[in-house]
Amino acid sequence: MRRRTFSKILVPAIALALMATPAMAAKKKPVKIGLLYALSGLAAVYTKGTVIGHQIAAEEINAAGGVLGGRKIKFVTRDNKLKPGIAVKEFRRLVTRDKVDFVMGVISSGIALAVSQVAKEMKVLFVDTIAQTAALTGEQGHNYVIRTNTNSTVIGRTAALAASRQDWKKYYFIGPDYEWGHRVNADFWDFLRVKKQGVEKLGDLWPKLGERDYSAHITAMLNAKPDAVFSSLWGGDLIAFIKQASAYGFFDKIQYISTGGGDLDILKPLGKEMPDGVMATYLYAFDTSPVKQAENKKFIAEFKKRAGYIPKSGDIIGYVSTYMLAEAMNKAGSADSDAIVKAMRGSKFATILGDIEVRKIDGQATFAYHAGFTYTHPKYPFKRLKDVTRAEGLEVLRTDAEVEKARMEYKKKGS
Amino acid sequence: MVDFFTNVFFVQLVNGLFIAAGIYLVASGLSLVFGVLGILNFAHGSFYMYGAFFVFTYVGFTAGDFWPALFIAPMVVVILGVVMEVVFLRPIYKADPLYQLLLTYAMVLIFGDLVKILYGAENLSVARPEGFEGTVTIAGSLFPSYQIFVLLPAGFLTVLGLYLFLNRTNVGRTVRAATQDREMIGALGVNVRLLYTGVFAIGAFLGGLGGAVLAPMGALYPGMDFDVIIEVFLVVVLGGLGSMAGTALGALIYGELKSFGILWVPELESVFIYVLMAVVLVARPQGLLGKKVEGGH
Amino acid sequence: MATSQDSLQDTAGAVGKGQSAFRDPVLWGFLVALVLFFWTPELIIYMEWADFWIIFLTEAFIWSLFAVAFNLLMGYGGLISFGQAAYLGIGGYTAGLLLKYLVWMNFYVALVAAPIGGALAALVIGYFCIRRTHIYFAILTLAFGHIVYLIAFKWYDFTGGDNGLIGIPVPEWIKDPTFVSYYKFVLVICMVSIYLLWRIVNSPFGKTLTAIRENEVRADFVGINVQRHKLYAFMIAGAFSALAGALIMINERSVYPDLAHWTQSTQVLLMSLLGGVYTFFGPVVGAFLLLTMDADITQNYPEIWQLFLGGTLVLILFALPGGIVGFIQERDENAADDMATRMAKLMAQFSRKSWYFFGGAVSFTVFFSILQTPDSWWISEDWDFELLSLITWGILPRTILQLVVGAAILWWLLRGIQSFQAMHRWLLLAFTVLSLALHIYLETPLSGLLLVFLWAVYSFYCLFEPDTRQAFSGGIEVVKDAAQEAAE
Repeated sequence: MRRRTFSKILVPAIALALMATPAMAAKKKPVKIGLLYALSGLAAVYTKGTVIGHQIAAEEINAAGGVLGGRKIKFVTRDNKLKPGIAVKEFRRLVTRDKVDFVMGVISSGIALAVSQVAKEMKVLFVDTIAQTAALTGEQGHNYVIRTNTNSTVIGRTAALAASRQDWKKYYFIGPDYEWGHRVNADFWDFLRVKKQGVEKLGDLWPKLGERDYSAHITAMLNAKPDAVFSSLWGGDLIAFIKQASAYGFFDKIQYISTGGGDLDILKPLGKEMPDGVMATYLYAFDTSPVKQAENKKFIAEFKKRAGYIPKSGDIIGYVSTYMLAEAMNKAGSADSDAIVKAMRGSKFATILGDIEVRKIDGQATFAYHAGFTYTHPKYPFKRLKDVTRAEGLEVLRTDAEVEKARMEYKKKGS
Repeated sequence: MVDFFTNVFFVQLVNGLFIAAGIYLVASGLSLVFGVLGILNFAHGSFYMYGAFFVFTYVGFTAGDFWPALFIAPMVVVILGVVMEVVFLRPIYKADPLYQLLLTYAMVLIFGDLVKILYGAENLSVARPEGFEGTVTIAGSLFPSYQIFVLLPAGFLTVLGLYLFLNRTNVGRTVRAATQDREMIGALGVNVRLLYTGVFAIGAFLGGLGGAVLAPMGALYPGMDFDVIIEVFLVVVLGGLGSMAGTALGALIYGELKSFGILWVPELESVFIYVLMAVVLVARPQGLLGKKVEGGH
Repeated sequence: MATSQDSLQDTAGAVGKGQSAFRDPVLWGFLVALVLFFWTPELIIYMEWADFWIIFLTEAFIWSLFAVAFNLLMGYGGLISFGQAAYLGIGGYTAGLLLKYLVWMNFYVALVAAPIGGALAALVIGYFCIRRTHIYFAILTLAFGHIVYLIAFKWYDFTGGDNGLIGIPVPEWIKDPTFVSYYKFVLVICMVSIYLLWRIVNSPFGKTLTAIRENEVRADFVGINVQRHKLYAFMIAGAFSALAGALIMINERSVYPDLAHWTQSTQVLLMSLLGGVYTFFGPVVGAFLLLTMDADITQNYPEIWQLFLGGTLVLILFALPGGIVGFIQERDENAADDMATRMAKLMAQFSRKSWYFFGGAVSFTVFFSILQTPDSWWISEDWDFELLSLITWGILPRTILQLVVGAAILWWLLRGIQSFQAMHRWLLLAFTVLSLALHIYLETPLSGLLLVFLWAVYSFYCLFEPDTRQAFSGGIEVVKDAAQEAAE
């Protein structure tokens, strides 16, 4: 008992003495946002630009007077090393040590699911910006998770929508061997079968993430002679696959459907080596897809100045989502997680990428998504896309009923 | 039906060769270094990565001139390797082998972040050299010409070159002797320091060459060193640490197993090779063609 | 390194055979530490970062247990396992799968099942591995570890594949929002386990293990069943690693294949190495140090943490091959030395090491000051300059002050110590404690604080051991003369 009294008096006194100066020095407490990305290793290619996108938005907002009546936005950036365990640890650190108001991130579906679990327990808002598994907001969704990006269902279904307009019948599948690959491939296939009769699946291949040599995969698919190959490979894997496959004349014989292949992280490094006529999907193609061109041009110019290259999809998502959260905070009148969630869910946002909504049921944003065909553009050193199918988010997202059903099934399986 | 089967069989066989040639280019250097220096070099993956990135720099600089890069990029890697050997490895040859292993691991971490500082975090790609973008037809099947005319010959020439070097030259014989008995070679009056540096340089060259030759086939990104190193370990250990013939055999098994694994059991293709390695190591810890080792009874 | 091994045997000898456990000073040390750490949350609960500290300590204790278990193999058995994380994974998945799929499963039963699962897995894997030595053992464990990882990664229906098992049901009290209950739970389990490992290491079994490490052929010759001893060691390490894995799983309520990935094995290797391979408590210090460094670097400089980690590793390998605890324990002793010579040597070494610590602390502070406030060379840009508030000074003046004033005081004190002036002993102890206070005030990053803390501990350790105490109080005259002689 005495020890308690003692510590009750002494410890706060010391703490007060130590904290007095910094506390007095600070004028108005900034809104602290945790950014949790994998900044080392192969994911750095994507996350670095996203962080810059976040920063540009925050600086613009701060310059215009901040949020919540003059509070500045301040980011605390952390590396999760692309490992769920570390992501969980860092999430807790962000909340307990850095006292962030909420956390934005992450790349990789598995990490998003892990982090979301902790967010639910700690009752701190987790805004998912890059990871796209539909399970995050669907089956395993909860109050404290919001996604300001498309999800795997949108991607798979948009591709399926576009593919259903062609007369391809026999499909082969290839995807990286983890949540993302399995998920998108399933979403594509399920939706395609609904949209088109008589399609047939010849087989699927699951190379590991970071595979270097696809010769065996390529010939296995060539031998099966499908009409089209659906691929959820991304990043370095996709580049390696396209380069190796084109050397086999793969793209002359088989229609290739690539998720994310229409984004600049693929098109730019491949340059002329990207074959024409590939069906590729994308969220943002710097000058064609955005709705608000003036703001978009400003962002591109600023981003180019800082990063040295034209922004990719993930980069503008960093920018757009920061604005969305700022708007939500102002609407909620607080940076408190519960208040933001309440203000965000079911609200409409006017973003560079179009007028969207954050759905009430799952906190999923309804960005539009695109699928087009590559062609050689006279002006650019890399391929661009034409004959674009644009799918509005609500067209291709799972309906509320579907989400409910998926959640029920997940619950049944879990227990 | 028979014709179709033989066709598929032939194609996957050749594909296995491509995979084997690629991995052999990288693995041979690691094996050689282990044979002579007794060090399992984690940083070998970094040499591979730097080889590829230097090719990118060179090709960008000369606006598309690929062929000289195949020599120049590995040579720059050699400089890196020699610096690493002389400055960091040399002082701890007498220490516990574990320390050497950990030192090379430390170098992986350092090299990994340096490449990000030098090249930024972006996917990069090296275009195939002119004239090698297309396909060639062999026995009625299509194959990429780069793999047929560059990768396979490079792998084959490395096997041949290393064989001739180790068996037909005096220096090579000394190196080979060193793989048999490191202590003895010093007693014979050979400059062991120079020998070690030289062998490490050759190892670095081979690692860099592997990266350079494979560069046009994939994407370059920070982290590709980690992706390759485990596979390389696997091949080298399977064939027998320090045995050059064993490495070639290991690469061949790895390539073919993977190629046919995809054909028959695509889900388990990546598990197979580990199981095989474990079985081989349990039965023959020195690897398929490795020499008998202490502790391997 | 030879000297550190000798001192290890000295400390081990102090426990002795035949002594009852309650006379064992280490047991009392454990109990005191347990009590102190047990009540730590109540002491710091009013601090701003209390939650953070509690989470941090939870992780640090789990990793300490893992590192100590691992070091039983590496330090005592001479077996360098590159796949120890596999048991972390096995433990995590054993408990996780039981809790996830068997509704009636009792939480504690699942927790006990983890080390059993770990020991069984180690029995199977160890059966194949322990016959090999050195690099072949390392590679074989790496291969088996990777197979465990791949099973967890590939078996979607059972292990959840790369997503792992998420949201494993744990008792409500663990989900305590202040994290205190789970911290205490972990603390008790880890302390007891580490103490058990300590007893194992100092039992005849542990001695035999060391004998095997030193010379396997000789051990075999005197009739020790080498393989069986190694296998037992492998199983013990596997069991405790698996326990640590289960604790990590409970802490995260989830388990992922990454837990079993080989890079985790290198983490624990690093911890052992950092703290001191040939010491029992080295890995604990290493675990704390690595986690604090991780917290410092990844917080603000995610882009360069690998560079920093690699650099530190290189430094340790070259400058401190015995690790930090090894460095502290290392003695320059000769059986033929008399008391006076021994004392003189001890003090000379103490001075030398104090300089190392001082140098280390200063360079560390400078390094982090430059990282944290890169442009504040002369005056701090974050604060309004005040002459009397050190924290508002720039990097250069602060460093110069630290170097000049600190070095002068240290030099004076160390000179006094070497001629056994009792006053200087106390002043030196005060000096190390004051440095610690200064670093807290200046908000030096955690790992810097830990470094200075270690220095203080080292000073107490050195200046309060029975021999030194006697030299300072009793036979000063004799020792003084001898010291002068030795100096000449």
